Amino acid sequence: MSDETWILVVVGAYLALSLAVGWRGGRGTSDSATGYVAADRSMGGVLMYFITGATIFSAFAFLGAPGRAFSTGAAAFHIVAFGVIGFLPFYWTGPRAARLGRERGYITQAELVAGELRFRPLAPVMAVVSLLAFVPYLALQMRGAGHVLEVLTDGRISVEVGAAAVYGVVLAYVWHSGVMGVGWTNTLQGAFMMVLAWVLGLYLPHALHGGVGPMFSKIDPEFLRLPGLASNGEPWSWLGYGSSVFVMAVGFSFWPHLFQKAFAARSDRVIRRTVVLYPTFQLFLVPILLIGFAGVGFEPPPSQADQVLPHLLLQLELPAALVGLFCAGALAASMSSGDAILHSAASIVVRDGWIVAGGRTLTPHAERSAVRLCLLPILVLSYVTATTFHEDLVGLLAYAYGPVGQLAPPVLAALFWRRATGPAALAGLVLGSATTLAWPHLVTSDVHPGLPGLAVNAAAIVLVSLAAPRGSGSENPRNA
Amino acid sequence: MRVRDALFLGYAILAVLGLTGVLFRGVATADGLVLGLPIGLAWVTAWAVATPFALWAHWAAGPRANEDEGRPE
Repeated sequence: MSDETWILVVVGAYLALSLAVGWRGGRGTSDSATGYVAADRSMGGVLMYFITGATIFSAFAFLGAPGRAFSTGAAAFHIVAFGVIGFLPFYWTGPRAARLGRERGYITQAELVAGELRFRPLAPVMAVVSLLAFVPYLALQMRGAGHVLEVLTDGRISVEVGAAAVYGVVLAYVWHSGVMGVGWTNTLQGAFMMVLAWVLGLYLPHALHGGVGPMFSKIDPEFLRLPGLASNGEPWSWLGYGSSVFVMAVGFSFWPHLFQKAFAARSDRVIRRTVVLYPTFQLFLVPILLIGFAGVGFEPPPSQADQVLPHLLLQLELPAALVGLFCAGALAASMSSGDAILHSAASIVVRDGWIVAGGRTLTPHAERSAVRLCLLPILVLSYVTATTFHEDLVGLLAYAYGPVGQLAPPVLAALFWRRATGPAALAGLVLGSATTLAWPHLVTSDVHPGLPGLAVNAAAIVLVSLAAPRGSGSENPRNA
Repeated sequence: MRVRDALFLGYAILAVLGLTGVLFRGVATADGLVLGLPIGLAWVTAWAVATPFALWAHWAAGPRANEDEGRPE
């Protein structure tokens, strides 16, 4: 067999294994939306650890992060930095959301906020903000998968065909098994990614430079000094670096597909243990960054920074089966995020857009069927975005984090602030999102546009809530 | 505010300020390698290593009475 055939055989075997694990993962859950979306609130510690970890570590981690290290040096360290602090809020928000979910039947983030603030219009607005972030994020995963296959087959499998094939598998197991399919495949994919990341991250510096220390000794110290370079190759400012870390950290645990896992957890203890252990998953980014730095000065250089990992693997003339395994690892990173996003997006459209906002009722079985029906149109929309949007992977993700960060103030207000009102949360969300989207067109600054958006968002929630008369009926009902 | 909450809040604020470059910028930007890693990477990695211990200490110091809500494990 040719090398290319070996690679495709290994990748095919990995995809078949993912499909089998995901397909079987859904056994035992009820035939309802709560079973399909929230695993009947029965998810244990191991699945929670991997579903939260692997969901966040995506094509961005496996391809974008080495690419960022390769092209912008120390700026890539911010990817570790925001993840370290990003999950901390979930230590408090997770158990509280889970408790409310058990009491009132919530299975989505927007439903919780709209329900707690007794203000139904919040649900569709939060759903739209979520989808604005989900579509580019899912597109990012698809492009990552397509990139890997394109590079490793020397262009014989295009980005478009590769993305369609990989996400056909994702669609199949998500459609059949819902969140438990996502959980079990994420466990497989997460463990696989961690092993591969450490193997590659230690092997490539050793093979190309004689070790990690000698590798860094060869690189210009300026390239390794924080805050590094911006994506345009110019020196990044501390304002740009710090605001990016902050905004991405704020958005981190409020990604709706991640937050939603609070409703799936078996107990508060499971959630807290997951948060405590979570930074151990973050450590796997260190070898990932080493891969990118291993490519600095390598001849010939990759045609795009995002392709530094597959480029190095091909140039080193490793056994084809081994290259296929590494390719499967990158696909695992893409799929482990893509499946969770796809599943969450469909549940949000149905629960928040159709049931909560529209005031309609569906039987549990009908709601489960409706969520399944929404999977394909969301996947197609993301696919079209993936094949037409030509920003680099990290740039696409940074765009997605802008709107997501705006979900944090309304969620925190609904969970923890007695005076918060629904109209105030809506005002904050709309004004914050508008500021985030308009900022780059109005102001020339290194500051991440999500930061002024968050400031406007939080200020609007506080001011509008305080302006409402006490006992107006729109305050948080838990404290009324 | 309870002592353990205040201590953890202090840790979290320090982490945010340290990781965004507001504080300790001199440390994070020093030249040289630590355990083979550039100082900046060693800096963020150290926070990733320390944070589970800080969270665990906060968790371990708290009451367990309300932690097992939900289904029995």
